[in-house]
Amino acid sequence: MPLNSIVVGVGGQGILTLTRVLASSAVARGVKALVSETHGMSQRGGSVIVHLRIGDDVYAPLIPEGDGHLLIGLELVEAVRYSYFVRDDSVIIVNRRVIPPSLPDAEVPTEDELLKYLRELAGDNLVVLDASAEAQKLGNPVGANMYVLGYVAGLLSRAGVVSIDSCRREVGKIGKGRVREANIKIFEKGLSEGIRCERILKSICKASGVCRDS
Amino acid sequence: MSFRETLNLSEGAVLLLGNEAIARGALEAGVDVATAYPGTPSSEILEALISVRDRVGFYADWCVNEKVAYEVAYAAAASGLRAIVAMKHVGLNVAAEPLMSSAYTGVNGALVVVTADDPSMWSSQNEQDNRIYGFHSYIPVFEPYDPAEAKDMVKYLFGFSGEFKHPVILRTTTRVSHARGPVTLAPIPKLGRERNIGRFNKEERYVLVPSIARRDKKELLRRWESIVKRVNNVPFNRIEGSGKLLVIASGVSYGYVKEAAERLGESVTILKVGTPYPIPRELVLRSLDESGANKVLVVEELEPLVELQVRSLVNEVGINVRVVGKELVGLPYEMTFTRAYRALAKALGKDVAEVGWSAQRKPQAPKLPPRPPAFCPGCPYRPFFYAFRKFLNRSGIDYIVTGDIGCYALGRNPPYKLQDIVIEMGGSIGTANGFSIGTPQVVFAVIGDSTFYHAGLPPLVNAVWHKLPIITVILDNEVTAMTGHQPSPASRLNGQYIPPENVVRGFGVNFVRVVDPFNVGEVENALKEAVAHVRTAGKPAVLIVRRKCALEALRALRRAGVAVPKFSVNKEKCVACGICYRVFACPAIRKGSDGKAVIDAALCSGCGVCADICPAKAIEPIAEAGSVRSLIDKYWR
Repeated sequence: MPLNSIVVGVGGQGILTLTRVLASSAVARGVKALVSETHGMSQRGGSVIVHLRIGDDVYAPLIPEGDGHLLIGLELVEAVRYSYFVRDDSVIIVNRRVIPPSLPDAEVPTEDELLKYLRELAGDNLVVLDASAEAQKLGNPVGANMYVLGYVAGLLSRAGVVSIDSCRREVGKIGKGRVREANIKIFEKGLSEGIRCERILKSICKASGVCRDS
Repeated sequence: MSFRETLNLSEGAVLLLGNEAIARGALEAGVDVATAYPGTPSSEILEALISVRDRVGFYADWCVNEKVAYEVAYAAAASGLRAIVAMKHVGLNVAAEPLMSSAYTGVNGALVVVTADDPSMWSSQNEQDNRIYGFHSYIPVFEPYDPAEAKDMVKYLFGFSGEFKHPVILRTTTRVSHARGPVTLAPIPKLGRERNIGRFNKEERYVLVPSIARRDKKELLRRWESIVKRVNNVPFNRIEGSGKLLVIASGVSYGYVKEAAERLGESVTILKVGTPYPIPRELVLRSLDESGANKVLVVEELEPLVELQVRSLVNEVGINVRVVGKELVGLPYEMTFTRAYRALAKALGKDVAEVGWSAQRKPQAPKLPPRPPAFCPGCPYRPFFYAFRKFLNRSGIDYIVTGDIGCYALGRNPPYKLQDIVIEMGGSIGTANGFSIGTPQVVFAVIGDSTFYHAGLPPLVNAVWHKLPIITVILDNEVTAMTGHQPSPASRLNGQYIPPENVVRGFGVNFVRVVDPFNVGEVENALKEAVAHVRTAGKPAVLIVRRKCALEALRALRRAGVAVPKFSVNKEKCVACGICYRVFACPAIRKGSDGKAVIDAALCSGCGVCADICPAKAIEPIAEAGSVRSLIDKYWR
């Protein structure tokens, strides 16, 4: 059974980069991965959804509704918007950040309302990361994707489906100078958190059946 | 790993975007000439090839439109070279004339035509199914189901086209072109060599005057007959599994069918079709025979092209088998697992409700605001549309704004609501011609620089020729922005810079103004003068609104190591009028809880236009004002 992950957020948050690094590090470990991206019009600050499927029995690019094992949200409104992809036993990993759409009179739910809904969906399988805050602290205000990448890479390396070394190599190629240094720090911080999250690892393995001996 | 880095690899699997896989296939086949006009979801094919052309040794570059791109690649193929041309589906409409003729003449080397279709219209004005161009033109159509097959197919197609001296179409879709998957690499034969030079042997078949065209048509049909036979033996058509239901699946649908059959736990015979036109007739008959199938389900995206051929074939041969397709799969939009699954379940006579996965409990979700794409902070189009909206509101004239294809189509959204018709590349000026003839309204055509050069020249010539009172606004950000910043003839990067004002003056347009969108007053004045001109002179006017794309300007600032100047709101002065966040609508400016404006420093690009339009002069640069303005002017003209 493959691991079906839905990665969502707002155009410009680095969702494609996060997903590309995860997928290529799965391929580096000899596991098949298929990513389906949103380009063009939707990148101009619009809502972005990327389908990431990891597993040797993957043939089709899109994840069926109600068949996502893992929802990764870099922004809370978007995480809720695409939550119809998850199942009862899915894991939801979100960044604690709300980006209001650039519509002047948009009514945006509060962080608490959004998190409450996600908790009702996933229960103990909801992980809320302060990725934006951590990234800001470590020197790249827009590096939340690196933190979440580190966290998920830590989890999935334990599941035996991605290679941390490959992730590190790829992260080391993103950006230049101080941005690159900050990205590496942010990634490592996320990784150190994700790699020891035993309970969530078990939930991912249970929901997807993707886990291998690592 | 970037595409450039994979150049040194000649084995092993790497993760590639479908479009990069297509580029890699062309490299492994020893491509000589590659051309394209950008368009989602096709653009990355040529971007990848351009990124390695000098190291490998071949020609790759953008052309002004798809027709020219096709002609360049075709002429190279007629000269015995291996050529590839890529475009989005609607681009093939622009290149349809050389496409049709190229089937008549054939080529001498190889010509691979890539059309990247966009089912569900993620970034397009329609979802036309370009496999039908194969039927229309007698050009075989190949369709991969994932990036790995896309690479193998392209490589194979250079050989196939060369074998028949006939063009071939590779049709991909968004979910193949913009999917990433593992692709197994093979060596690139020409790495680091001198670019191949061909020779055009002057044969009569290339001169399509009626007498020769008639002869070519007979030759074309002879070649077609061999191609129809040959597709039974291409490795992308194959029979898998066994079962009394024969499922014929084309392109990306194959992956969904495979997973749906697995999920249903049913054994079915699958005929995987990599050539949707012409279908492998012998393989269809053999799969019917071997499986003993009493029913055929055809699963394909969009039009029933394979289905109609299968129906026709069983009818022709006189086989008594029921063929179902679109009535179970549905016609519009891209394929999904659910569609394939339900069709398969129904064809197998299963109750869909029974075989589906369990319904989930759903708590009451909070009401979410929509998040449409918007102009980037600092985008020069925003102040233009702001000024345009302001001018129209004040003047009270009865107007029509015709729009075009590019980022500026977002100007149709609130709060600007400026574009009443958007249909195709160059359509802004073409329809403006018609509206000025058919209505008394003042007609404005809004078009970007790349689109103007692509298809805006002939309709503007028509307007000058027939003295039509239209106002053409060329939004010149000096790049093809929406598709990923490919150069246009109006780019000052490399190549010969062609300023649009020189071109339109050459056409005989008397009223030409070049204005700066960051100067809102200047834009309003120019619009006013242009309206006066078309009313009094009864001839076209052209406004060129010029500022670099914000993303390009910010990149230049970053490269120069210059920190972007930021602006903030002086709360004492702000009167909470909302002009900056409601009417100008910059995403970096939000309404605070007291109604006063708040600028998000992480999003502010430092363009400074909000400071100019603020009636209370409450928006101030964080740094010293003079230095901010000079920085903007240095890197952002």
